[in-house]
Amino acid sequence: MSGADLLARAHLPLAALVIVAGIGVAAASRDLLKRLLGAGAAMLASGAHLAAIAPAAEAGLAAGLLALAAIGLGLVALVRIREAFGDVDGRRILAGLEDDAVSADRDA
Amino acid sequence: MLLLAALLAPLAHGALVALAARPPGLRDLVHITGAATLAVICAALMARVGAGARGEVVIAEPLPGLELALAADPLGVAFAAAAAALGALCALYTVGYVRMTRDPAPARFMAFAAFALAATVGVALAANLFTFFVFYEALCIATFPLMAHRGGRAASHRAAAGYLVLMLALAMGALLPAIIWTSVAAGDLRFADGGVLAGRIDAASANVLLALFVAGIGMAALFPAHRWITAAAGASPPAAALVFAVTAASAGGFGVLRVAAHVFGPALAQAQTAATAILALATATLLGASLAAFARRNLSERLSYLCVAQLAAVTAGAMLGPAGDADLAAGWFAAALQLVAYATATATLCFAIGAIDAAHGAAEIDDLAGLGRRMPWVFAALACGALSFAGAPPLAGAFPKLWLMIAAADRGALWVGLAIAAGSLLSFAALTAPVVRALFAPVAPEAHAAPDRAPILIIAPTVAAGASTLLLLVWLNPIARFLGDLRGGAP
Amino acid sequence: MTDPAAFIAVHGADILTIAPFAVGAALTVAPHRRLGALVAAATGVVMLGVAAGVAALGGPAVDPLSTGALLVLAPVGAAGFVAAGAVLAREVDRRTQAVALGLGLMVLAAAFSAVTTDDVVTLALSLTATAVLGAGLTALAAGRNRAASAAAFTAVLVALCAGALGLFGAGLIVGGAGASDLLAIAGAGAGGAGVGIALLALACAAYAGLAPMHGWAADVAASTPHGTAPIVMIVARVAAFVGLTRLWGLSQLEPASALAEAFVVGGAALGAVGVAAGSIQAIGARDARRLAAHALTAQFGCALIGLAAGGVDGAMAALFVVAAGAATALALVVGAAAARPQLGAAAPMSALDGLAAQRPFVAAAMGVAAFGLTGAPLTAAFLGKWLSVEAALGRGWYWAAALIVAASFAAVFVAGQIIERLYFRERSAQIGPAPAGALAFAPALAASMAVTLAFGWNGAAPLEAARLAARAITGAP
Repeated sequence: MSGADLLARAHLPLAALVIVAGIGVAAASRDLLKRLLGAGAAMLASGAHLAAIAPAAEAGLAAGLLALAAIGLGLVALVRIREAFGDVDGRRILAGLEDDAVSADRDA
Repeated sequence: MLLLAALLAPLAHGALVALAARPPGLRDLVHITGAATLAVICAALMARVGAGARGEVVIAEPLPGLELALAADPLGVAFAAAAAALGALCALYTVGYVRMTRDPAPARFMAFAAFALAATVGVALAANLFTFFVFYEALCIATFPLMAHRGGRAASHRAAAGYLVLMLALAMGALLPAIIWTSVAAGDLRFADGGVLAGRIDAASANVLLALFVAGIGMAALFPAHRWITAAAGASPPAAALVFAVTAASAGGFGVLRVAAHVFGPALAQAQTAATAILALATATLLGASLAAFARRNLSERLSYLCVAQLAAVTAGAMLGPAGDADLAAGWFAAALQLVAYATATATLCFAIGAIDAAHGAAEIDDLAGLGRRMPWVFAALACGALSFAGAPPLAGAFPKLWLMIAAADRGALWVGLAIAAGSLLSFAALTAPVVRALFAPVAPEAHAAPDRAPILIIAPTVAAGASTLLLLVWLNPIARFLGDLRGGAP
Repeated sequence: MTDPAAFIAVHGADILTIAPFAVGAALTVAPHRRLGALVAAATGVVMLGVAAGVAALGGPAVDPLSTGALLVLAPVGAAGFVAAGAVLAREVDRRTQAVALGLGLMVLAAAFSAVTTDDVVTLALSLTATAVLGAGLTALAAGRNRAASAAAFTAVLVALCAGALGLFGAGLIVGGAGASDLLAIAGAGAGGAGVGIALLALACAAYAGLAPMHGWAADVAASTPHGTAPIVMIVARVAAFVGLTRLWGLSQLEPASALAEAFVVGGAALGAVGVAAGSIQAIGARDARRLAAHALTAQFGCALIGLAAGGVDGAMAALFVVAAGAATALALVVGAAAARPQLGAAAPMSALDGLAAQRPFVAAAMGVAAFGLTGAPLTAAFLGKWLSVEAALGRGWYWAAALIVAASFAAVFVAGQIIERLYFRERSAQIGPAPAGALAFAPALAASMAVTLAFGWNGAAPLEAARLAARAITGAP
């Protein structure tokens, strides 16, 4: 069995594995960077799967671009959050938002 | 044509009053003319229907088979005519009252009074349950500013907000599901002699449906929804007359009767369990409210509890319905009469209490001593209303009480008859005591030294309303003939 | 020289996707400070014209569902962009304003693409694009507001995760059925393709913000720039729901299949959760736009129950509810933008206090929308509720009917709160007067009011459109 054959057979379970793992990390991790990277990996894996299977590769390319754009955007947001909170612990973020809501109410 | 005019006239009247807020003379003229026009239209409609004509107008059809339509049938037209006639008296009274009390925003009040009348006419003439629901909700919304009117008093604002939320919530939560259920079960929402549900629904569904309908029509003020009336006791007198006598409360009683007679019809027999439970609740409301009235020393509050009691009698009559085998729907006939008697007597009492309050600022029963000798006309009217509530012949209240007892006896529900008799006695005691006190109690010579300061525009409608409580004596037979389909029961 | 009508009939769907995307991309890359607002508004209006043309001409490229969806999305988009310029001018500097409008136009283009396509890969990609671009829009507000940063980050996560699921599902469909065209897949519902459809539907549900995946939508709604809020909050979510409806249609072709079963159970469960969660959270909302987002979640839940109940009637009810919900949300979102006096993202409910005295037209539109929320009769939402309850009862789902009724009951409190604030409160000095009434708000508010009232008075035309769409996707005769 050639390498290409092997890849053709393995890409589906491989992609599924990466997607499950990525979304799992995104859902379970408290570190925002890990969450972002997990979700990004899942998206890239599904894009790669699509590129391998679809008759036209544009779909995979578009998915990859979207994933990269989203990850970039996520990183920007992450930096902003880090500036505001000094930490990327999910629980702290939530606590901070509560404060925001309360202060917004006071403003009102 | 007349049907549409009956709806459009008060709407135009409301818009015109709002536009012609100044000068006051023009505003008052528009208000009185508008209300009188509606009364004339409704009288003409009544004449037409009495001559056997029936009509129907479809205004809109939001969904196929779901029509916004008006129809002229005896029960609806009779209620519309009663509401319009009292509405005209109320318009006169409103003009007198706002002039006397220098109301800050009379045009707004008059405009919403006209809109409330329009919604009431819509409720009365609705051809089907959907139209009824639309105008019922419109009535909730139009009466809200009336109840909240009294110069920014926090208490009346709170009461009005509570009323709006309660009515809308009950309508959404119980009335609307009942209507949709009826639509699914019967495939028809039209009000019809003999009902639409007969033969199309099983007993269990009929019971639940009846309970939903009665719970949804919160304006009928059955316990525990009665709170909206008692909480609104502090509303200004014209508002109280409009809301308690002419529009909302009467429309609630009318709605229950309409549903019982023209949606259920003979199917009411299938919903026997629910009907009996509601009957028991109505009886309990009647007795409880009559007793509670005694505890109130404020005349308006006492009146509000008695209103609850009288309205409960309408619901009781509607639930008594046709007797097992007789073709005489004594209960429904009694409920229709009671509705008219309730409206006239309540309007009289609200007018009279408002006149006393406006002229002498006396709201507590203890302050009334001797006042009757200063305001003989007003107290005469008050006495008429009170005696009518008590069911004393020959006043209007006597006939429905009689028919209610007949209906109760027909059904073998003697306890209902006894409760109605007891309720009448309690009303008599609760309202006659202040009247007697006002007329005969000895007073210090300097008290109420001023002459009667109420203007003619307040006295006249009060006296006219008081006189109207005598009308049933003359009109009982014509009305009985007019409401033939109710009296004759199901074909 | 080709006939323009024929050209639109054939290429209308492509124009709707490519033109706003190109204009939006140009505005984003080269933000023009002065012309940005004008260009965006003009593009929105022209696209409305094209969408109307496509609908009127009934070209071969679009089916009735696409037509109906375009007729909902294009007016919201056009009115949104007309209002956007005036709102954004108060929120962000002109350069950022042009970037925001550009991103918004691209979201609109992606949404158009999602509702007109019959290719599962394009559907998944388009919806992912709306989510990513929407997250970008929210991130634009982040400089000022850390809640906006957090919301943008959450939106990115949702876009990536749902995108992964959706694209993987699309891949499974292509692998299983050997084609990506919905019509070609229709017969091959079993096996891998069936799982793929389910995954893609799950992704659509996440993008549409169906409960319990609605938290992100409310967060984004509360902190995205006011100007483009109708696009992010309404257009993107409605497009995702339309995509879901299309996939649901596939399941209806084989009513007894496992896929159809999954749609019934999943749809009923998600719908019930949506109605309950949306209604309850709308009552508790202290921010006007959060309230609108939760109300839309509840409407979607109601629509989903209609879909799950099945048949042409259920789908018709669902589509009608979604359209009515979009109209209601539009008035609330634009009204909140019009009421908000200062810069900044939050739109606290107290900003609505006493608005009726200062901006009677805005207050009237919001009041009508509030009545619509309760499902008051003679509003379009009433007919939607009526149809949904009928669909649920027709299936014997008394619990669903009771739930929808309970939601209306809850909405009375929400609407009561809005109307009480608009008409019966004094404006507090801290909030300050409402900003000068911009004519730009008028189209959005007037359109919302007109749709809510006119279609409540006579719903024949939209119902017929919804029925056609429902028949087309379920393959019913």
